[in-house]
Amino acid sequence: MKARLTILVLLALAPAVAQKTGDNCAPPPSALAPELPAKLLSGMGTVHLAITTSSAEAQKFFDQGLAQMHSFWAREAERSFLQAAALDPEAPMPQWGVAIVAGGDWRPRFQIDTNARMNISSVPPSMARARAAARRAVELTQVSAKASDLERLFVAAVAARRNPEQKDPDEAFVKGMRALLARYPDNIEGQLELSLMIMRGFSLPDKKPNAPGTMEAVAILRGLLQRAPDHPGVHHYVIHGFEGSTFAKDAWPSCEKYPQLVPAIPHALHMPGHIYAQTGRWEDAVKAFDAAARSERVWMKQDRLYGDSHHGHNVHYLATAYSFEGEFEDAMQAGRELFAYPLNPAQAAAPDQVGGAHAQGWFAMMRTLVQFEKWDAILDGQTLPAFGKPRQDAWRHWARGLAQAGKGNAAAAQDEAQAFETAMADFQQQTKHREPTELQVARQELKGHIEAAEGRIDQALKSLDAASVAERKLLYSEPPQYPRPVAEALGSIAMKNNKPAIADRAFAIALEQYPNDAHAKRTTVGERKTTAP
Amino acid sequence: MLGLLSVFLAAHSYPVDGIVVAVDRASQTMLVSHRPMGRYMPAMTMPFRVEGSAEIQTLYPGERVRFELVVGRAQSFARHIVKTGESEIAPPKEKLHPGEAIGDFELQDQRGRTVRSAELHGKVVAIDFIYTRCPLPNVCPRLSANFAALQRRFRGRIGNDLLLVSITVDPQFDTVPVLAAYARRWGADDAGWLFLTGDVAPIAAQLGEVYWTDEGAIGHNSITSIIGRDGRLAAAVDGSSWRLDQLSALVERALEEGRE
Repeated sequence: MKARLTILVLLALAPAVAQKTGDNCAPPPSALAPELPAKLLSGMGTVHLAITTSSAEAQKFFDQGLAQMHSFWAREAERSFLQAAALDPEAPMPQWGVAIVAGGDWRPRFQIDTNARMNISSVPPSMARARAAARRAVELTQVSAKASDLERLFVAAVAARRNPEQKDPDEAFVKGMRALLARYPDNIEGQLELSLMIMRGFSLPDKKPNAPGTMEAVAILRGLLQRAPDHPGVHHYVIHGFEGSTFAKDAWPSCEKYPQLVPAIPHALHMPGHIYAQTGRWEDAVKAFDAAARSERVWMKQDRLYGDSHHGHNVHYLATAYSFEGEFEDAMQAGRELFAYPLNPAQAAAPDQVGGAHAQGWFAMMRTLVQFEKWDAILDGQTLPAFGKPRQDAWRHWARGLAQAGKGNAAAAQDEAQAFETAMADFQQQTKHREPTELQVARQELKGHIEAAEGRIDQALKSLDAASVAERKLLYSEPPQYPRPVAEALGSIAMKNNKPAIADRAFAIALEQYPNDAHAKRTTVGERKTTAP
Repeated sequence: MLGLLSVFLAAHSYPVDGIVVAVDRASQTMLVSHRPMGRYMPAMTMPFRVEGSAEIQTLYPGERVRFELVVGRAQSFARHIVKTGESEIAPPKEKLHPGEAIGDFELQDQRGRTVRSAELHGKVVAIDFIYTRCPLPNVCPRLSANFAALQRRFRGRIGNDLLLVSITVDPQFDTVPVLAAYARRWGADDAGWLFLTGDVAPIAAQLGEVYWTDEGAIGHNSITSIIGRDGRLAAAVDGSSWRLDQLSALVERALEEGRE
């Protein structure tokens, strides 16, 4: 009964549920239709797509909506498109814009794939508006003088994606965009939109393309960098298209350019941090996330419906960057800021919660304390408070188990491992979901730490190595799902037990995963100093 | 003893799902508006004697319950009563218990008229919480559709000794003109179905309504309360999935109570 939320509550809280389960890198569309009037804002980036309209003002708001759409600012983009539609109700393209952004799926295709693999896909309440707008756009394009051939192709693609009867709506959209490009091969907007919907990302740990579309998108984007160097969407999609690859550094120029072109949208300030973090430029990542946080706090203050999930994602990543950079206090402070956001009543009542600022803040504190091996702080019961939900209970007992083992208390660590198992059983019982994969890795890792505390070093190193392999195969997500690379712990325990070859290999793995990881670098250098003649 | 045993051997039992309309602890009886019991009994409102005295102590009008109805040759009774309230959302600390008087409030209705709580005394009042731009058909529109049906069912009494009151949980957006348009959409009788806006937080907290904003949405639980003629909370129903006849039964009961 505890775990049961009724249909009513699920429906009433649909936005919160979507937010809970999905990653929050792309801010969701508004559950409620954005209110008008929209305003022309500065700092949104400059984009122009000439549309059929009787109103110059409608064209301006359409262009603003398009720019906001390319920075995944769904709520404001919809507001701009609605304003354009209000100024010219006969123009089809503002309806096209609403149909695109209100669906909640204007984001890189690999993120859609990840959500599907994790069974956390959801249809937002705003989808009804997206579908209605798609139908309206089709009606308007059928009035011959009211639409160009190009507009009809744009509308046909989104109408296919919004058709509830469509079995594979994402592929239907891709097909529609390919039809458009067959007729208009040089159309920049068409190429850009196709690229976003065919980028399937890169696998872990080998960083290979997940599908042919991944490299096709990269090729399209490299071309657009030449043809449309001031288009904010090009730089944004370059960052997404290259993240997780072996050539992520190629996105560095776009990381410079994108926030310059779009200085007033938090997500535009945030995104370069993804590339900087995974290429070891932790200080630049910190600057990007910090700038985004400052911008977002202003918007949050102005709009009571803004929500805290994107801020949670951004500041969580800020804490992670600080932690990898070796800045303990700053990382903890960022985590504490998020943890201070309250759970809303729905989040408080739900058996699981990961997406809101409060939960992300807790996780940021936990991962920081573990990465810095702050065993006493983890065990003091105050620095890492109990969260009150089984997923976090499991993580907390895992961290406490590591702490007890790290202090040489094998029996106490075993007790924490038992408590971890109880929390994992509670998780399954309350949520009716399978064990999260990353917590299965945590179980493997904890076993290794306990074995080390028991003095069974060879077995411990084997267990940690296996955990490290499993951790590196976890699904790609940013910030990483796992608190810190297991290889750091493997290296640290190997070094303490006079196994320098294993330690060196482990730290090399950690540094390959996270270039310039201060915890792997510091340990290697420090130990070498002590062993060097 | 053998006689009693034979009663139970011949007994049948049925699962029952319903809403408690009234509780008489002295006679250990509850009045329940229940859903159909298979082929045994259609949906109706009827009293059930409760086995043992403990189970009835914590029941209040408006609560959704499931129980087992045991029907023997000579007697029948309800046992194993389980409350199946809809929401796990924690109630506010100000939430009134049944029998407690609602506090003073001063809000504006869809005509721009100031409505004070004192004006409601002497009438039975059904209060729900909605917001006009709610995008979820199973929540606010359903609650309003049910109030519209109550308005039809109690025609003649609405405005006289029964008032329907819908309070917005989005008062910044739901201004008087917005509520007036919403009232027209639902065919509300302005004298008998009031839509209220203003400083709604205190009355919402008293009636157990919880609401918040997040990610372009307004989330809320849905509490429908029945206030007796004496201005005291008579019943509270959680959620929006109750049947119209169940709410009607609560209203009818409140209308019967305190009738002169």
